[in-house]
Amino acid sequence: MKPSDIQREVELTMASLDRLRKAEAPSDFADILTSKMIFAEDQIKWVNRAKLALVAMVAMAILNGVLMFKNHDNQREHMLHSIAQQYHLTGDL
Amino acid sequence: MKETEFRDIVSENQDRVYNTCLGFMKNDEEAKDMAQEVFIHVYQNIAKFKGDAKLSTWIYRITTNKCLEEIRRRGRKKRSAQLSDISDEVVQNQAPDFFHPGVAMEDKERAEILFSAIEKLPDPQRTAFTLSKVEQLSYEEISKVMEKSISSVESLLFRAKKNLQKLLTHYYEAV
Repeated sequence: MKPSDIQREVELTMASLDRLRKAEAPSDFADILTSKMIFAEDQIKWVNRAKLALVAMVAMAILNGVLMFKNHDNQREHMLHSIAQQYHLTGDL
Repeated sequence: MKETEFRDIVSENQDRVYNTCLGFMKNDEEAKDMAQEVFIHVYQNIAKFKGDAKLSTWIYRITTNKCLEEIRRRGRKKRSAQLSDISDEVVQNQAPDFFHPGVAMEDKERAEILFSAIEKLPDPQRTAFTLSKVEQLSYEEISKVMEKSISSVESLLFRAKKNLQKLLTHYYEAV
């Protein structure tokens, strides 16, 4: 092809979208979409419930850990207090 | 969001979403699938819409991002950021399933070639060009969708046009 022909082809190709008409979505688009959305919504609900359950389990585990530690700490203090009392009474460990 | 509200959003925006998806996907069936993905995303994230832009702008943004994500995921596009890489590539007619219902019959072959060339553009240029030529948005509207200044959009469109001319010149030289 001659350079002038190439140039012309390029211009014509660039102009091919000048007459582009806007396409319309299919007439049943909203109906199909809505039924998909109902399904997706159910999925989301179950995922959210699972997430909530997981958060609750983690919170319970942390609380349990804290309570166990606190209980252990209280026991240790009680023991030390008893020993101190014993010493105070008998002067002997 | 209530079903009726969602239906209203879909009705008002389905044509522009579908048309924009056609500009990226070049295929009717894929465009319909992408358009549905867009509206599912809209439905799931409507609470995040702050109202600082028009709803249509926000939806355009989701549409372009979703289309580009899907294209990248399919690996259809080689990302060439360097102008020299782009100019060395010859446009191949890589879309045997090309179908855009808005293209006039007499323009189909050339449009197919042009869409293949548009695929070779960097994403920002491709987005700006598609929104301008396919969706016929103004520079101001494009700047809001892409969250760039109007001068940046002008620059992107200028470079897109230059790159397309280079690509097409290479193509017709090789034919």
